[in-house]
Amino acid sequence: MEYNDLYNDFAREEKSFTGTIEKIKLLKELKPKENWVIFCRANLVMRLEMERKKELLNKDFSTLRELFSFLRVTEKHKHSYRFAYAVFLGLAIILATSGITVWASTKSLPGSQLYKVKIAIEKAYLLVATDNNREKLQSEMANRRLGELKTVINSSISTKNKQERVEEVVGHIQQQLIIDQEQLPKTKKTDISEKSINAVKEVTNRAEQVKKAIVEAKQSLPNEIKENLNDKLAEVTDVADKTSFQALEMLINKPDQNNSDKDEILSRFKEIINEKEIAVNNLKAQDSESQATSTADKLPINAVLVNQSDQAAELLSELQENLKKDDYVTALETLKVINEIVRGAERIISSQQRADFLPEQSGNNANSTSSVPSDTNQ
Amino acid sequence: MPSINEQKFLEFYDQYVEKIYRYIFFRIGSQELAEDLTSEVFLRSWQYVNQNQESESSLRAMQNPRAFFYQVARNLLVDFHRQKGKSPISLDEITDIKIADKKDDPIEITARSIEMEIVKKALVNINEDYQEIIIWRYLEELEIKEIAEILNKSEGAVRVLISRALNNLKGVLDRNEAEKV
Repeated sequence: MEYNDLYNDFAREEKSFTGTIEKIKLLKELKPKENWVIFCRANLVMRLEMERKKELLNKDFSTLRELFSFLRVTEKHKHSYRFAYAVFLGLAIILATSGITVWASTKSLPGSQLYKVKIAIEKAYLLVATDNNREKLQSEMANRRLGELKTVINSSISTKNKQERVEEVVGHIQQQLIIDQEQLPKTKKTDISEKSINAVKEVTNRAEQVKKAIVEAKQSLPNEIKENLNDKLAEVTDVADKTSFQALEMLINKPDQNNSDKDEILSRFKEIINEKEIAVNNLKAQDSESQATSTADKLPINAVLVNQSDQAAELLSELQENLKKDDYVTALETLKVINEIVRGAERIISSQQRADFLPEQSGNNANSTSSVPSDTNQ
Repeated sequence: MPSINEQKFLEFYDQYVEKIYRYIFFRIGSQELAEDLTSEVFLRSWQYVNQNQESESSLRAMQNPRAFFYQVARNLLVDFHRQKGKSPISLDEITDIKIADKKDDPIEITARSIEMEIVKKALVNINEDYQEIIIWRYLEELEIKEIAEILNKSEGAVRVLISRALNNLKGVLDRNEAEKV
């Protein structure tokens, strides 16, 4: 009874502070960076896995010691030799089978249980890698993932399986990019070493490869999968873009740039500009197409898209001017704006296409709906 | 069997990482340090749980993981400040609080940022024990029982502490408001 009274008193007191409490709750808006949460989780998974392996190794070691203890036994214990030998053979078979599993896992593809083993082994290798071969390992892993993506896309499996497997491998690609992004040196302008710069170049290469692979995937995947995975693919491209920009920023910030550094920066810019020019041209083509076929309710959206593609094209010219003046900092900022515009426009187009697939609007766009099975329309 | 536990532990990570990060961030004032310490909290928690499997303390810890993680975070913060030989960074030093929801109206975001700044400044002016208890109770919405568990105090003592902390904070907020007028 006394406890209840105290509890009610406290509840009343808390109520009288409602205004203050509401203000405190505003601080809830502070959240950690999403990339860090994923990276930290991946790191935790690896550490847990290593701990488990260490434990297993310790267990195996003590088991082996037990097995070989017969070597120390006297004549009168000879009968135990046969038993120990049998157990040893059993263990050897188990170990050999594990070896086969590991070997088989290296050939595995997304969708298979062994694929998880393969990913775990790769992570373990990465964890124990020295600074010198970590870069090489990461590049190998990235290439492997891109190869797997290609294989899955070209495989003749059911749409459902293909979608699940593409999603799985794309998820791993995204994780690798996030790790790359986190590993980019977080240093000030004055202390960027040559080694860091080389790492930055490697990371840029990987990010660019991912972007190309995603573009190719979008071209090769059936419409249904493309629609379902659109957000995921856009997310990965976004992470790749950010990684690429962050790496380029590091190159630009390098003090005492020589001609070779400038060539490197210009070639990176050129590569990204080409990519953005293609994207802007695609946008323009889609604008014209949708203008020709659109209904009155879509006119405002089309107007926005036209405006955005014009704006992006204008900024691309500005960017070329910045580069001619060697003003890389402004050029990079302009590039980021172009990227945002293009991505925004692509998102609008994608949501518009999705809306066109809706059954109630199918009368307006019969061609679009025909390629999508009924289950995705609902 | 261990893999099931690992899976469960990772689920706890997903559930509490944001809260632990926020608690550490407000106590330490640096994003990078808060990230490092948060990741250390989960790693050390796992090591403790794993090494003491089946022990009563470990089972109790996983019955109320939130309180356990806060305890680990609190101990780590104490160690951290001891090693660095300095007192906790005041909330006044916390800068660059980014508002997560980007979809909101910029005017609304600005208004909320100003309001957050006012609360933050008020929190600076109350003692550390009060700061901590306010963060737990109203920011992280911990039950009195959980706070009592973390602080190893009775529930009654926690209620008294919260009541004092609220009075203190309100006083500071009102004073700041009056000074503004």
